[in-house]
Amino acid sequence: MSWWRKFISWLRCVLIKFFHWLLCSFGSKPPVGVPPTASQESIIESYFPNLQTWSVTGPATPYGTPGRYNCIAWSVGITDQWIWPGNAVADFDAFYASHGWTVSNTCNREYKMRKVALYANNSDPNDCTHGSRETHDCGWDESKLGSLERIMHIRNELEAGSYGNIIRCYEKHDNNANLDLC
Amino acid sequence: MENENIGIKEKFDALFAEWEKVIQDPKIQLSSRPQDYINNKPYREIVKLGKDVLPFIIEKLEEGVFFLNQAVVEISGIRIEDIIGKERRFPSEQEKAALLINWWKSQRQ
Repeated sequence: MSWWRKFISWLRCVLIKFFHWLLCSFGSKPPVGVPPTASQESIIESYFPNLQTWSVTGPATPYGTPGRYNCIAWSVGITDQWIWPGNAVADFDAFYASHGWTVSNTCNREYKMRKVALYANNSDPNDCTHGSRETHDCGWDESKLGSLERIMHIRNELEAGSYGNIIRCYEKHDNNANLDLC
Repeated sequence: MENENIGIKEKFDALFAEWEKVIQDPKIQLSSRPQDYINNKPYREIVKLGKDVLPFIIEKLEEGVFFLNQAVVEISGIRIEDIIGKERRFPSEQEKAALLINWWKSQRQ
């Protein structure tokens, strides 16, 4: 590669980093969704004490709603089915593998990679509770909360609440993900 | 026999209404795990009603109440694995409900 091409590549990366730095530093609000109502805030935050910055990105799907879906369906992009592969991590490994997600070495953001986080009560690998999917850069995940709303949140803000803690992450290549980490 | 069925239907309707109230608890609503919707007293009482209640449960499955899948499995002794195609590894609750409805209909023919 000529020095000129290297320079262009370096410059492109610097500009992307700067743009994302601006976006992530000054955009402390979730990039999509609407602010929660007082009622949503009071119910949902009472179960997730660390949840501070979040928005509602999809309506609740209460009992009787056609096409009900849950967190695990959402984490693989399905929005009309209720899926629960089992309670053990091994069940989720097999399930996510069947949708092209592989076990990740880290839950940190990675260049051109999207993550799904798996939660479990008391970090017990046989007591999995929830899955959230990274849908936007700057560390924003989306979670479908059972029958309740789908929300956007910072991933670790759901921890130490009703779902326990993150015990594993899965990853999938995405050409448009986290380009600021170039 | 008809009177017995009416009795079962009334018991089922009462327990079903009770169960619907129980699962309105936000702690349960937050959960994606089917077990959190079925590990409660009215649900267990529905299962205890036995085989006579199956027609009423199947009606609810047809209306989309897929959390009753497990009740059908427990009452009938059927295994989902036995009625699902081997190629379908992770069926959704809606798909399980459809399979159980089909199984029920095939038993009635």
